[in-house]
Parts: sequence; C-alpha cells; structure tokens
Amino acid sequence: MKRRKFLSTLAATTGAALIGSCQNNTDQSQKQQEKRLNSNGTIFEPGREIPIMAKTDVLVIGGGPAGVAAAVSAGRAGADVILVERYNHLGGLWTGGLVLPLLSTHAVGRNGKFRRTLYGLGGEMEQRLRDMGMAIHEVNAVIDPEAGKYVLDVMIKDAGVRMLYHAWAAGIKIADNHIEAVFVETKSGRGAIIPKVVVDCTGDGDIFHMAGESYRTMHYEIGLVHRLGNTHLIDKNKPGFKELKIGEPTPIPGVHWVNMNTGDPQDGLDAWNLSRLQQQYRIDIWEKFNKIQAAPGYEKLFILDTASQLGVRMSRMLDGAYQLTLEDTMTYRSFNDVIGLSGAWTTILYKGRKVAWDARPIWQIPYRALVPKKTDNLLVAGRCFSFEKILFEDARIIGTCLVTGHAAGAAAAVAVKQSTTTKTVDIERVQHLLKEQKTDLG
Amino acid sequence: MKWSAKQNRIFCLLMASVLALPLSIGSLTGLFLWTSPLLMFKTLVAGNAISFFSLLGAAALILVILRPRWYCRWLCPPGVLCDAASRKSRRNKARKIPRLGALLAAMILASALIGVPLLGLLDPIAVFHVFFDSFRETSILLILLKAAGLILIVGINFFTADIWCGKLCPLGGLQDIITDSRKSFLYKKTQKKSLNTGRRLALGMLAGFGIGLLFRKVSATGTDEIRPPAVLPIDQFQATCIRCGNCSRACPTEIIQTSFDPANLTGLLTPHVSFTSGYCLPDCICCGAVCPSGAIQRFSEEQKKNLVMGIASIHREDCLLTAQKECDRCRYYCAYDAVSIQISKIDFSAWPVILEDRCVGCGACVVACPVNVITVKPKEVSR
Repeated sequence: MKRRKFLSTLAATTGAALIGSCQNNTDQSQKQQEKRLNSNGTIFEPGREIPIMAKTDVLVIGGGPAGVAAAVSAGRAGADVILVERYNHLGGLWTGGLVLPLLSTHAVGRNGKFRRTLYGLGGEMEQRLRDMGMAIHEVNAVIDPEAGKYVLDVMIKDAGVRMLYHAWAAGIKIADNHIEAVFVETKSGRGAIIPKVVVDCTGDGDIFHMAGESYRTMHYEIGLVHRLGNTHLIDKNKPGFKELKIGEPTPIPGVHWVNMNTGDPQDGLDAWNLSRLQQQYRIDIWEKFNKIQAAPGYEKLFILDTASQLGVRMSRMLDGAYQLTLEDTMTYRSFNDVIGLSGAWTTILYKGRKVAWDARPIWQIPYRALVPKKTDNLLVAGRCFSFEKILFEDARIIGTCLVTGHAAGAAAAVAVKQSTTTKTVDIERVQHLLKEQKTDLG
Repeated sequence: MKWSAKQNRIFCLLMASVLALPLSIGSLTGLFLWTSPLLMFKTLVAGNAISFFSLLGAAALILVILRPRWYCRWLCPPGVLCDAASRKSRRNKARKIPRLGALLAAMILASALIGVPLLGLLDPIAVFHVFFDSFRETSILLILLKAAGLILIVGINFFTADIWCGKLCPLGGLQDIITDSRKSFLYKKTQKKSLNTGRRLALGMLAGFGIGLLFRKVSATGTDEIRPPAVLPIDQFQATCIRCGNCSRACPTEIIQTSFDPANLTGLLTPHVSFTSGYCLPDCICCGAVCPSGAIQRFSEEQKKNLVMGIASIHREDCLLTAQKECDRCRYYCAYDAVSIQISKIDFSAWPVILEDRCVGCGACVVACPVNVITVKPKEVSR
C-alpha cells in the first residue's frame, strides 16, 4: 500500500508541478495543496524541473523475460529502444529470481498432439542456452541463471537497444491519456525519458497503475529461491543417511535450485512487507540449510546463492481492452488479433472436470489483452496483462511472459513506424512482423 | 379424430424414452418417474422426496381413484410393450396365478412405513428407466443387469399373456387395491372380494414389516463407498433407492456411478461417487432434485455446504509441494477453505493439510492434484 501511495503521490505531484511551472501564480495553490496533503498523513514534495535524459521510440520498463523480449523485438524491427531495469541483470525472476524452469513450452495442439508452443524470441533464447549446454529437459527446460543473464545481455546489445541498468521508473507524466514522459530514478538523479510508446513489463503493472488504468490485485505466495552447491558430493553410503529434500537439478552438475512455497498469500505491493519477507526468508533458508548440512552425508553442501530478487508471484492484473478467459484457453478459441500461443504446466479444473497439464490445449493470446483501456501509447506484457483471475497460473510463468513481451515489442515498433496509437495499430502488420521473428501464431 | 388411450400410451412411451435417455437435462432428467402413483405414495408414506414433481404422481393417483387402472390404460410405457408381447402369446391369460401385485404394493407401502421402503425397484416405471440407464454403462455385466428387468417383465408375457400387468405388477396391484377399497367403501357390497383384498393387504403388510426389519440388519455393511450428498443413512438408502439411475444421468460431471460390490449385495446397482474425471460442484443440486425415491434427499445450494460426502486425505510422501515443487492446486480449488498449507519449522518444508471440520469430500482437490495423491474416504454421517 505504501509504495503504491508513494508512487501515485509522486505521479500526481510531478504532474501538478509540471503544469504548475508553466503558470506564475502557483504559490498559493501549492500551499493549499501542502496543507491538505499534510493532514492526510503525507508530505508535499515540491515540483521541480527534470532533465530529459533521452528521447526514444519505444521505452520498455522492466528487464524481465517480457521486457527483454519486447526490447529485442522492437530493436530488431528497427525502432529506437530504451530498456530500463532496476537491478543489475536481465531476465528478472527467471534468472535473478532463480525461477529457472522455462514453463509452458508445450501443450496439446488442435490435432490432439502434444507440441511445442514456444517459438519466436523466447524460443531463440532457449535455443541459445541449449547450444551452450545451459538448458536441460526438452519440455519445460531448466536453465542456468548466469548463462541466461549473459544470453539476454548479448541479445539486447545486438538488437541495438539502449540499456539502462540500476534505474527505477518512479513516475510518469500523462496528458489526454498519452504518456509524455517517464521519470526514472538513477545514480545520476531523477531524469525524464520521452517515449513514443511505453511497454509496461514491470510485472507489478507499476506504469498502468500510475497511468490510472483499472486493474485487479491479487495476494499470493511470495518466496525466495536459493541454490545449493556440491549436491553431487552427498555421501549416500554414510551411516544414518536419509533422503532429504534438496530441490531440483540445474544444468550445472552439483548445483540444485530450491523453490520456496510458504502457503500464505502476501501483499507484493507493500514495501515494508516485501522487506520483512526478504529478511525472514533468507534467515529461514540458512536455518534450514544448517539442519541439512548437519545430517549425515550432507556435510559438503553449501549455499551457492539466494535469489537477488524476491519471488513475487502475483500482484496487479490489468483490466484491458479484452480479458482472456478460462474458456478461451480451454476451447482452442481463435482470435483475429492473435499475437502468440502459450501452453500449460499444471492441472486445471474446467467445468468440474480435470484437465491434466499435458492434456491442456494450446491457447491463443489476443492483442487486446495487452492493451489498456485508456492510455493510447501504453502496452502491458508479462504476468500483469489482462486475463481472468483463474488463469494466473498460466499467465505468470516465464513462457507466457516471453510471448506477451515479444508481441508488445513488435506492436510498439509497428505503432511507432506507422505513427499510430497502440490501440489503432495495424494488427496484420504486427502479426506479419511476429511471424518474421519466427513466432508461431497457431 | 379422438385422442385415444392407446395413442396416449404410445406418446408416453416415446416421451418417457426420451426423458430416460442418458442425457443430463437438469432437473427434468427422468421426469416420467414422478408420474408413478406407487412411487409417489411410497415416498409420501416414508416421508422422503416430496417435491413439486410429486404433484404428477398425486394427479395420477386421483385419476386412479376415479377410474380403475387409469394409469395402466393411459400412461404406462412398459405396459405398451407388455401388451404387444401378450398379443404374440399363444397361451391364454393365467387364471390360476394369484394377484401378487397387490401383495407387493402392500408390502412396499408397509416397509415404507417403517422407513425401509423395499422393492420400489419393482415399479414398472423404475424398471423402464433402469433399462435406459444401461446405455450409460461400459461394463457388460452392468448392462445385462440393468437391461434384464424390462426384458424380463416384457418377456414373460410371451409365455403367459398379460401375466405382468394383470398379476404381478405392484403398480397395477396398488390400483386394484384402491379400486377395491373404493368399491367396498361406497357400495358395501361384494363382501367376499373385499375380504380377499383385506387379507392380501394384511399379509403383504406383515411381510413388508418383517422383511423391512430384517433388511435393516443385513444392509448396514456397505459403508465403504462414497455416496452422493444428502443420501439417507445407508440401510435406508439402499432400501429406498429404486436404482433408476436418474442421479447418474443428471450429474453434470458424471461422478455418480453404479455400485457393483459383490460383498454388498443389498447395495447392488445403487449410486456411488467416483472422482476419476470430475468432482461434486458446490453449486449443483441435480442429484437431489431428480431422485424420485428420496434416497437422495432434495437439498439447496446453501444446505450443500454442510453435506459431508467424505473427508479428503493427502498422501504426503508423493505430494509435489512437499517435494519443493511449485503447486497449490488443492488449496486453490477448495471451495470450502479446507486445505491449509503449513510450514514445518523443523525442516521448513511446506505441505497441504486437510482441515477435517471444513472438508465435505467434494473431490475438487482429488481431481486438481497433478500427481493424484489425494483420496476421499467416506464418512458415515448420521442425520
């Protein structure tokens, strides 16, 4: 709540300040505002002139799987692209969050056969990792996070994307449902980036929240993944040895990744809560590890790392131009504005019946599910796009993020090239570009 | 052209056949069963399923009081088949065979009076529906068992004309009892005949009481199966159920199946629940609404929240979550908040726990579990 309040305050105040700076008699209204806000448990931040750091065609906020796919797609299509990432790595939860399985690469096609759904840029990333020997399993591959970061860096660099690490999108300036500027906090201070199109790949939907779009929120489990080293040196012949849970193998022999489910739904938008969980989880991991290490046979294990990103599974979900429904995904629903396919990785109940993960149909994602209702130069990709809540297990996973990200980047590039809004973009051109970039539209 | 009784019966045969087909048409599934005055009277006496549809049976009953064998002449679908068979018969009517139908009807009503309404399954309309229910089965044995009833009651008419309708049918017997008692009540004549009827009635009722009590003793064994929500206590349930298959046909998720447990012969062909493909939807009231015998009582969505079919249990060793894999399907799909994920502070592993005071055994978690480690165990509930 606090961060949301903070961000909206920032957005409101910067917006107000910028409008105010054009006029001279702002002093009085500013004081009034100050008084009102103070009584609300807030404090007024004075408006100020912000230096323009850059102008660009496509501004992608968030360098997770969706953001990277979006930036690479738009970059390769010839657009000028800036990618903003708050941490020091690309890949988001996939790499920095140590959520290593690239889920939902497969599903059942219309002919009833289990088939691959992930092609396009996501498929390319997977293939590059495979070529390095850094992806295991044919279906739902598990990757090595450092190799992942490297591959994504290379792809971003080769696509000519201007990369801005260590930067947090802290506010926007919006007028007539058009985002004029996005303010970023960086080591060089606060700066403004002037984009033609913004792609919100924040995962939490920070940008559409600041733009005043309507959305739903969801509390869900938050975890912290860690990796264990020397799992190949576990001595199973030691007297008193017992099989303990030490996670799942990764491409590097002797290294396991260990997932964390806590069972309790948490608010992923509450800054204090996130910090509390971060602290508690790391302590929990170490206490658990100490017990494992003390068990006979496990002496040589060590904690390789805890994830550099907290694993927020769900937070905001956009109410977009179209909300993808469970029925759409279970009935091979075809959309004229299809921009990607995705698969499934867990059981779902549909009309009272079981549909096992390997019996789930492929599902099409329509472009409208990425388009917010109001803002005309914003697209949303990643786990916060527009879908019926029950689909969150399928929407929040890496594969789907790669697919929606890729499509949002392509659409942004087409919109820029044709000088249209993201709402009126020529969807056939977008689909054509996606096919050129090897996406399967089913 | 005047609409004749015969035309009406053939129309009823067609209509009943359509309604009895194994297609779920909500609460209209197997609607024709409700027209049987015998079943209506039986459930009335036993105090079970009285619903809006009971008016159909009540109306038929009134017409039966006014006109002898009205139901047989105007509605009875299996009667059409029996008549056809009788016409092919080379033998004359069996005069020497006593009218067992009235005896059976008396027995059914008497046993209903003590809460174990036996032999309702001999009602010809029920037999007719069981025949159609055989279309649903995949096991040959069950198909034969279910089809046998109608084939038998039609078939015997080939050998002795009119034997079923005239002598054996309990529904016909009930109509005879009603007509006879009406005559003796109105005219106080035919002293001999009413005495006969009275004796038969008394005999039938005595047998009904006796067998009913005996059945109660025998029947309490079959408790290891999950039954649909709102079933009667098991002994009453097995006696009350007429095996018509309405609940199975109406179930939208097809989880109500036919029980065939050689160890529990009194429960043969009764419905039981199996969560192989689906689960019991929290907002579905179909099985209760279509049960014409009251073996499954009518219930509302609101009441369903407290109807316990069983209790789920999780085999923790093979649970994905316990193996540190991403999963919370059981908790997510539980409509009753009966699954809680707990963290062991000893080894920090998480596992789902069933809260037994909340679980109703609907089976959603059983079906949702990707690795099939959840089962529902029946819970014997006394109501």
